[in-house]
Amino acid sequence: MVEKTTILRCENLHKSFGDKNVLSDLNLTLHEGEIIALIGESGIGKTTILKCLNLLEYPDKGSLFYYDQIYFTDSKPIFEPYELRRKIGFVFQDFNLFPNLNCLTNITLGLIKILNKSKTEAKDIAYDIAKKLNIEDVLLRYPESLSGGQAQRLCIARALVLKPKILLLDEITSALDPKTTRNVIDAIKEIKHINSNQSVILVTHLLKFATDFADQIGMISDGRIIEQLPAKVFEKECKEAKSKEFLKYYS
Amino acid sequence: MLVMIFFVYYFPFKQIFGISPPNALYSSIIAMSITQAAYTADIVHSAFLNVSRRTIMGAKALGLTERTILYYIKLPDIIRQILPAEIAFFIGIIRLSSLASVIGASEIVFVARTSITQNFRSLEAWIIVALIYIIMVLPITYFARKFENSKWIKRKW
Repeated sequence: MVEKTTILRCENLHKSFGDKNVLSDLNLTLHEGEIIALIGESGIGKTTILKCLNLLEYPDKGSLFYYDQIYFTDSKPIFEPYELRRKIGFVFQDFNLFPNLNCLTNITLGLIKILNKSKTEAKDIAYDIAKKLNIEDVLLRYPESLSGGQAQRLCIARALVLKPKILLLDEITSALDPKTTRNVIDAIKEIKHINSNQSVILVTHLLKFATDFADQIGMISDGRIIEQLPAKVFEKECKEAKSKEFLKYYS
Repeated sequence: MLVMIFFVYYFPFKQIFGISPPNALYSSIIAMSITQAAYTADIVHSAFLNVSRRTIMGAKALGLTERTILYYIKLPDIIRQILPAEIAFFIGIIRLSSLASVIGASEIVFVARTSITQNFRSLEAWIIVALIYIIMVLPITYFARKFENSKWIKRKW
């Protein structure tokens, strides 16, 4: 088997908020085209991991690499964070859309400002992706008028149009009801069709979704990944007591 | 405001800076500018703090530069927030400009009073003063409303 290129790597990541240690000694490697699902209890720092990878929070210690290029070390970024964030898309749990812009502009703003597309080009791309995610009829409305599922799909569209190398999905379904969750998961699966080589790190509470969609599942506890196994066999082969305990609640 | 006008007018410019003190008109303008600036700074500051941090995080995560975020995300929100307070205050300043008459700046109220002492037609004089104030304030409210409803600022549902 051909060794896949490492696209993102973090080494000995530490992060604490005040006295509370959230991440301690976290190591994570993401290969090209790989999908890693992170699971674990609430409030254990899963979101913080994603924010650290995207430099929305600066880690206290540790290094981050994009391909072989180091982009964060000694508690400061090597180059401007926005350069990096353009390569790493982020979909939030609570959407964080721009309320003063309509849905279309929410998508096109990044295209125009970051990829330097013309307005008409950007519009075409936006309609194209909206069609795939089934939100084209709401594009001229404003984010506040959208339902949760539509807002989440808009958020996915907004991140995807910039063609990020890596996509970070932060509990994207936890604010939604089961039916809408279904829709959003379908939209996420669409990502694989849009770009089969998309690397994804996702945080989720839906074990089934993680097993179906991801290649690897990582169990987070005590601020680090205590166990990482291929998704298909995670349920059977996990050895750590904490993973077993966590899985018990799903059965 | 009144205190500020007195302060500027009676400030010992000559003794401290060695320049001649401003006359009544300039004193009032300086005093009003300082007051307006201070209040505006506070209003803008609080609006800045009020911009949703989540929205900004969303914008940052896309990889937008600080400048783009400021122009497209923060500013519309800030202006939308400060506009009502700022307009009310601006109109207040226009009304309060009558205070300048206490140090003898020849503004509307001062002129009205002088003319009343000459011809004793106080009702007519004050009606004219009121009209002038209305004429000054109306365009401001009109343009403020227009600006508030502009595409850039407005939040639609």
